[in-house]
Amino acid sequence: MRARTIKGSPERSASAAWAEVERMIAETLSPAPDIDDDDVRAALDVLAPIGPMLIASGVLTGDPVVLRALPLQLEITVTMGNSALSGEERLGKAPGAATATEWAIYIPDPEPWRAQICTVAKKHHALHSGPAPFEPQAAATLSTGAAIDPAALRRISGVTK
Amino acid sequence: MSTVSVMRASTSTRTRTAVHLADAITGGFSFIVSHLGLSTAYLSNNWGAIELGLMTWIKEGSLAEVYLEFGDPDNPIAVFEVPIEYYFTGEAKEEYVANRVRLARLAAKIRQVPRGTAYRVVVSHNGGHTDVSGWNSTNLADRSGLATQNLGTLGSGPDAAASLLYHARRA
Repeated sequence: MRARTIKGSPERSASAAWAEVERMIAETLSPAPDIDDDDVRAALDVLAPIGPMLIASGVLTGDPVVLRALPLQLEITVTMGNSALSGEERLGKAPGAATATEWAIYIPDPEPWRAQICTVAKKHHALHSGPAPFEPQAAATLSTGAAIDPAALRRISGVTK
Repeated sequence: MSTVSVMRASTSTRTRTAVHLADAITGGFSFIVSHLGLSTAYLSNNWGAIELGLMTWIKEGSLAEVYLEFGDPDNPIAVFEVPIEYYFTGEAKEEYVANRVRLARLAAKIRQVPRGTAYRVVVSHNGGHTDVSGWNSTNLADRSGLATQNLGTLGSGPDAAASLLYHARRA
């Protein structure tokens, strides 16, 4: 799990902040050979009309846009007001998605925007409304089996072969 | 040297105040339109022009009021009015406040409008102002007969503040 924070107003307008969100997603997925750049661009184009609105409304200050491209899960939030004046930000590509074969973007959908965000999310297969699935690390660990000790499981369940 | 330094800081805070208030206003309008169950397509489709206009005119101090008008301008259902107050702060602390949470709490005071009600964003100016693409001349909606409610401050920065008035027909 990685997290990135982009400075919104008063450092940059909602449109400018959303442009940084778009750039971060596109550049993060770009190294993955199995992910089509044009498909990513198409999804971002679908989100373009609502992105600045979500930022200006303060939705992305508390709930992140999540890029899920396992093994990377990237949470992107936008700070606003006084908190946008301090601290550092890391823009552009976040590492970790080069081996991803699938990807999805999860858009927070609080009221009163829920219906409109759900409508937009249905326009592209990679877009989803609501929170992203949790524990991407656990999913990666289980696939290798490295973190599970079968003997320990037998001891816990009382089986002693 | 110190004079140059102060001037740069002043220009910078004025720009930041403009960005901050433009966000507070557009975000507030987005909340109101969504709360009323209306499509935000008009706001989305015109976002660039609205944002640029507000930022440009607040920065130059020419923006007097912003309006979100619902219904026929000759007989509007409701009008949200955002007066902009400018002030010279000198070396006051640079603080940016937006009352988004407060606006959400006040949503219950906003009466529903018929489904599909048309709406538009209109501005008025103090004297001369820079032309911004996408904006056209029009007349303000006729607010006679509408009752006014003060919904408080929408946002404030070192150089200006925006408050929110709600005009609607009495229930």
